[in-house]
Amino acid sequence: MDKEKQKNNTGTLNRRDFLKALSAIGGAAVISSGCTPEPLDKLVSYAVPPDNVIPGIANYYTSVIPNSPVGTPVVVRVREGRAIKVEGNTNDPITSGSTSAEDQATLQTLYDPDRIKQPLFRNNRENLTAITYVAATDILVENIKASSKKGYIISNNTTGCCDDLLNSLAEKINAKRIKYEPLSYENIKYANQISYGENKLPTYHIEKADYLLNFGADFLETWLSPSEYSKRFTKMHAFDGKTRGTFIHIDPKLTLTGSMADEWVPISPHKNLYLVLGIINYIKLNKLNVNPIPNVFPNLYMYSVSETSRLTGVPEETIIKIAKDFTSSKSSIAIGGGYASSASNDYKTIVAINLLNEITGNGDKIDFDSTLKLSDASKFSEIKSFIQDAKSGNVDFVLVYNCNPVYNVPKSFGFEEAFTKIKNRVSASILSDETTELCDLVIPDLHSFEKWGDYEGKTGNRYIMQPVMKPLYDGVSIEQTLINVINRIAVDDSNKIDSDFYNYLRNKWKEYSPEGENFENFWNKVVKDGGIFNKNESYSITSFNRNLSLGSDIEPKLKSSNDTLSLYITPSYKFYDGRSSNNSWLQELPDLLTTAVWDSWVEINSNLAKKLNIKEGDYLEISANGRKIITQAYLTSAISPETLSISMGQGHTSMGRYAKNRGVNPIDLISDSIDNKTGGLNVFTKVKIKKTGDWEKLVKVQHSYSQENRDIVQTIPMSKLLSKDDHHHDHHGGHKEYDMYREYDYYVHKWGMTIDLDKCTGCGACVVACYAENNIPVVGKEQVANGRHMSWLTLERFQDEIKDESTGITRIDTRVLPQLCQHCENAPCEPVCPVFATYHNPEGINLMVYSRCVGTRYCSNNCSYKVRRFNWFTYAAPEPLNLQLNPDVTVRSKGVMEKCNFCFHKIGIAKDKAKDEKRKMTNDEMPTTACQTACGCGAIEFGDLNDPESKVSKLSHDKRAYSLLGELNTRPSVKYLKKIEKDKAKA
Amino acid sequence: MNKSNQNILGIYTYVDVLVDAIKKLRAEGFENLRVFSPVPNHEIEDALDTGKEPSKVKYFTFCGAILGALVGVCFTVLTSLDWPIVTSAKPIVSIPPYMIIIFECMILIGGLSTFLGLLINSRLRKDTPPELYDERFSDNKFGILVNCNSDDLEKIENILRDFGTDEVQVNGVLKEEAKVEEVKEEEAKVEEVKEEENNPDSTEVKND
Amino acid sequence: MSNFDSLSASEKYSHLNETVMNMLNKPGWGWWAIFAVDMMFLAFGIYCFIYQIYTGLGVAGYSHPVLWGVYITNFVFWVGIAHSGTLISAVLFLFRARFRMSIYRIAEAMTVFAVATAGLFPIIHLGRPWNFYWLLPYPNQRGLWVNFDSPLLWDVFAVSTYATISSVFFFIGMIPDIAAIRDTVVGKAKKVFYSVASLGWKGSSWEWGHYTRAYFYFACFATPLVISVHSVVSWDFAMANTPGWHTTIFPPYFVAGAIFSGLAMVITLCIPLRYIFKLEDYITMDNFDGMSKMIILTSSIVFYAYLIEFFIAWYSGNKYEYDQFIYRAVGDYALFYWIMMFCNGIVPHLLWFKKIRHNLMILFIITLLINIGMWFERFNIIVISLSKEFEPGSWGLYKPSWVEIGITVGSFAWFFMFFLIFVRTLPALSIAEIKEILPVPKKNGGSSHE
Repeated sequence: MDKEKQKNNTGTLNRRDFLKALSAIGGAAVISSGCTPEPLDKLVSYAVPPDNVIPGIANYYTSVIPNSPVGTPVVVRVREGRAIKVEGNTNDPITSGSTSAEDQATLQTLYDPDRIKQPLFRNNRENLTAITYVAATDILVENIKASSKKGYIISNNTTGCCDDLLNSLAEKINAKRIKYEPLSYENIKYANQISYGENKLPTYHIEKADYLLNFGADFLETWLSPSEYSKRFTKMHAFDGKTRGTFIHIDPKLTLTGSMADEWVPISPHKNLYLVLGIINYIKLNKLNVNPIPNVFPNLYMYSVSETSRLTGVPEETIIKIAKDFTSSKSSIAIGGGYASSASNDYKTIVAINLLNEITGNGDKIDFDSTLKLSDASKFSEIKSFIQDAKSGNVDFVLVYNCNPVYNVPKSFGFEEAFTKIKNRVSASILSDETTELCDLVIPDLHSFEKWGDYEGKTGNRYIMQPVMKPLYDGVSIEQTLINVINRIAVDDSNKIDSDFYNYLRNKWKEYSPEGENFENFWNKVVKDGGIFNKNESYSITSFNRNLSLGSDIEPKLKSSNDTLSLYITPSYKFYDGRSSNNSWLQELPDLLTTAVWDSWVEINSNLAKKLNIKEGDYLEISANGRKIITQAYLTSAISPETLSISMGQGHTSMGRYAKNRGVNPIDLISDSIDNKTGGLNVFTKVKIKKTGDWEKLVKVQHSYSQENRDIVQTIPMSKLLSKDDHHHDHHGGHKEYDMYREYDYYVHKWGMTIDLDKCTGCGACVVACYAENNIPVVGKEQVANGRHMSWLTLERFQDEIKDESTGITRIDTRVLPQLCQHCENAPCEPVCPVFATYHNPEGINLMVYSRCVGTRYCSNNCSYKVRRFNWFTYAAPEPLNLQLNPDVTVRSKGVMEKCNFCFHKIGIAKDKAKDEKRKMTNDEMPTTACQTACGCGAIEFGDLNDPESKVSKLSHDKRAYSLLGELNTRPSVKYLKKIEKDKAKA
Repeated sequence: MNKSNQNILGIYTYVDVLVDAIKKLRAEGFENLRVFSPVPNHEIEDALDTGKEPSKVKYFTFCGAILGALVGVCFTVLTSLDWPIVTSAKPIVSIPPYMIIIFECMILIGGLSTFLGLLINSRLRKDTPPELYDERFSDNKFGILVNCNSDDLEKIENILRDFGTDEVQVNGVLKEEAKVEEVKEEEAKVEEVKEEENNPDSTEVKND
Repeated sequence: MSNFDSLSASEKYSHLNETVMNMLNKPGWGWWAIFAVDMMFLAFGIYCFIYQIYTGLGVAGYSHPVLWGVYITNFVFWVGIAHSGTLISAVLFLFRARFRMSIYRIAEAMTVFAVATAGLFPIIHLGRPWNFYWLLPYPNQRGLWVNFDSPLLWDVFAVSTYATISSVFFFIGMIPDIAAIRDTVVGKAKKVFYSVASLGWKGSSWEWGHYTRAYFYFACFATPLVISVHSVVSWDFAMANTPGWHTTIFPPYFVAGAIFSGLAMVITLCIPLRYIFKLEDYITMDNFDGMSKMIILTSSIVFYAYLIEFFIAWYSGNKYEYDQFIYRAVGDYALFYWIMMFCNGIVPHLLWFKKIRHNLMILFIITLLINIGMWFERFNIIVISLSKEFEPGSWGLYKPSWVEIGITVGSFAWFFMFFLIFVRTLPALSIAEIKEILPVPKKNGGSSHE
């Protein structure tokens, strides 16, 4: 009956569909015209569309985002000439198609409203004024010719053709090149140099281990290659039906990476070395080692368990347990060397970790065949010598490309002062950052989606950078400008290079073309695939230098007294070192562990704060080395009481509207000391804190972090998971016997999702992907403070302190919940809407019809999961950010409710294709959601629950599957898979 | 001038004498009475025997309520069938919530038709012509209006006066004692109004 | 008083008419001053609303997850105020309670104006108030119908029915009195106005006959309507699954609370009105006494509901419900909770003492406190329940903004504007019905009540 009625209704629906289609075409035309720098005011449709462009149909192009540290090969979705969405390139073995939050947000850099549109020149030391590219090249050539003293070219860790061109320019003008990366891990490189003879950043095959011991490396956030390590970690840590690896995280602070650990061992700051030595010593004394122990550390004997415990603050039993577990596990690996823990002499920690791996026979998981290109980055000592050079007036030309040393070289080095002494300062940058502002000539670069190029993140993986759209401001890429300059200053024709960068690039890639293969075919293939990928996972094992001895200069220092605090600077998984700060999606993406947004904060131990009478939101003055920063306090028990932690990335004084004058830059506090052996920066900073007396509410998305014993994020012990008994399993999760009405039939599809809480690392990529896919507005700090963030998918974080009755040790239990519309079958939101603005479609999706909504907000009040978002204002992004908007998704106006709709438009596109061809959808064609494709850990599965063979269908009947707040009998279509807990008995 | 359509009005201050006058008039066969009062009064009602024929307003009320309930049913059930949208896996036509709508519609239309019934039954706008009404009736005076033949005028006046009326008006003109003739001079004036308005009323009064 | 008592029955009738006519005299500067101040507040409220429409609902203080706040509080508050009017005119009419006669007109007027005020808030609180008519079921070009399952739609029906029926009821009751004004009023325009409004009422016996029947049926309709309207309003909450809302006790609890707050508001309005217009002869201590006793009764019901909610929260073993009620008592909004408890649970019980019942100053203060307490009751139910629901990760707090406060103040100004106009244009005392309780003028056997 109902079905018939619906059929009868199709008459009117068709007419409406037709109108919708009409408006969509009109809309598409407006949007497509927006590709030109100045959007047209009139609706002009494509009379003759360009080749390959069918209005309404997306094109996909491969390209690469040359983000540090390894770059991400991507596939860019392009609609009518605009890049609208970034997805990972599944051909790539490193990322396997996953992307990070930063990668997803690169579109906001592409359409950044503060992008430099034209070359700028400061004539007569006044304001920067716009000039042409030709004039800019002229000035640059003149500058070079007029320079008689030393020249420098400072860039980030460039690779491929861009690196070649910079090198060749440096060579031509006799300038020194510095590849400046704030996170360049000199200590690891140096330690590997002396222990393996390789001054490189290797690949750690953690997936081969079943016991991972991590000394402060944030490998899921910024360390070495986070996307890659997420994959490897998932492989190691995920439950495979029988077993699951163990991950122990040792760090003064519980970082996002640490929150994934089975156990977090808080340690006094900068004491990792002693703990490693303590473990090695215990292994040695108990003869647990596999390989003989070389005498690398002559006074190893000093590190008895009790002494180590005293030095590090780690309980003795924990040390013994780690040592035993590490040696007894089938395959273990220890890693370490995060930015935050790098201090002078910290290379010894890495050597000790290498040694630990070596003596337990686990050195075979360190792969020097596939190393990071980041290994080529300059040491920090080179920046220091540049500063000395510039200060003494020996430098009269500097070109800064794509890096921001004025911002992220510690102020104590006096970089700015030295830099301004240089006569000719040239910057090539996409945004006007702190360094660019000090330059006299600014040549804008193109975004990587607007130009040709190549990038190599790890040895053997070369990616093609392909322009996916016309440059937004008709600019010229830096590579082309470099070629122009090189050819202008060339003495004669023989020194000239190919005047067109595209040809230059192709010529360069002829080297990589296999012999005998037609280059055109090869070129077309690599451009289509996105590059050359080394999928070979086999590698040779590098042997440890058993003759190495570090001497006996590691004096066990007394445990620091309580009144000294050390600063723990965490690189940001959103902004990295601060280069992605002018990005409103990332600014609005809540930090996972604090859920703070748009600002800086200092994390302080809650017991310490109580002692100092500090409340959350108090402004604290943190001073060190004669400098101070003032920021708000965030109280947490997940940090050692001897440590304060501030995240990198904020505190810009320039760079654009979203970054400027926001938060503080903790790097400013670092002293001017460097490690003489490694050439790395000594990050270890002792700080003092003082209350300023000011208070303001700290702007956070979440206010309550306790689960209040409500079993929101559920866990399951391993033993229960492995037991055969599953009579507890109730696949509806509710009290079915009380249902008043018959079950509703879903005739064709019933879309559903599963989210594996054991796999989710909380990296936030899904959240940003959802922003990009669904045109979710950014509301700004003030509105977030009112609880009005619009994110359809939020990562909720729960942190409860659990006291173990038997041992008396308090454990911090961190759980992450990706919270989105649950698409309940018995949705509480639906019947309360007076105007049917939200209802259930026949495929099980809880839909929200924006145009029908009057804004009573009753649906949200009645939503048990609180996943609905209301448009309090009409949020409009400044131009040209609007060009990123996905034309498949409505832009909502003020006064309407919105929420996750399972990427309804993607389902429509997938179904339409099959329908047009009059067949059923194949398994490959099944729609995917934006969050699912972005997830690097494979935690999210989406599909048809009506198909018993689909992955989501199987997972939703898994033993671990449960419905959130199942007792409410809302019967969600989203099922969560319980997080796996170590067995209490075993622990 | 219509001799059969004469109106004589007696104005009273006290209810008891008014009631006695009513009884006397009815006993004399003058059933065509209309009594004005500033307040509903049971003694007057009893004297007039109005209870014999109850008000017809109740039929309006009843029909209105039934109609309202039906409107409610149509609203809810038919629109739901016309636009079958599933919410929360509930049936398209779910009766329990509809009962509320049906109830409210019943009250609304029932109430409005009661009001309509009141207007129709008492025909408020088309009642007594102004000259036969005295403004003091809404203050503290009571009145008896008798519709009669010109022949009976004197007799009725006498009855009214016997029961201690404050004053007597014939066809809207104050009649001093023993000055009946003067009234006749006003005939022409009164006729115009009576022709148009009084006739149906007078029959109506008879019916009462 | 003694002066009034010495009058004859007939003179009392006239005295009543004169008293009412005096209230309709040309207003003095005092009235104009109050009216001007009232208009200023109203203008500010209107400004706030226009600003809100223009900028977006975000100018209100809403904060996820508290998506209902002061506006819905005001809605429930005004609907509650609206209840005593019809209660006094209909329910007490059916029960033949004599103390209702002299105050029921004021109460009814209050009802109509309170509904007119309450009706604004569901529109004001919409995200897109310009589309409010989408909630009405009518055949439209959009081809859409409304969702009759939604408690908000029940509200639309209940409140609009209530507004209509109570207005008609108000008007019917006034017809004989308007006729009385028509008979004495001076000035052509006024004469025309009251003539039209009186619908030609003459007070003839058969008019009274139909009138009293119709009034009786109306009272019969209005009584269940009163109960249904606030039950429906309570279902806005009780039908949701939110802890603190989802409870079966709400309909009786809300109805009692509505009558409670309405009675308090009637007393709050009557005391100054009685003083200003010297109505001591008609609004007597007996009236206040009777209403005070009803306040004690309804207060007890409400207080019982407060306590039983706690009991049920504990007895049910439902964690969400339990946490919610603990939170109410000791959480962020505990101050408001205890204001409510004090004003609605404790203060009204002072009225057990006759001396307090008969001290109009204290009575006035008590009723003001009850009004405040009842406003906070609605605020507590709405805001506290929403701020802590099932999912701890989504908890949040709400603080009203100046726009909400401006519109709230404006709504009071809107209500008082009607009331100020009402006391100067329409009979604030029911002439015909008070005459029923005055002695009947009789020549013989003296005057007696009928």
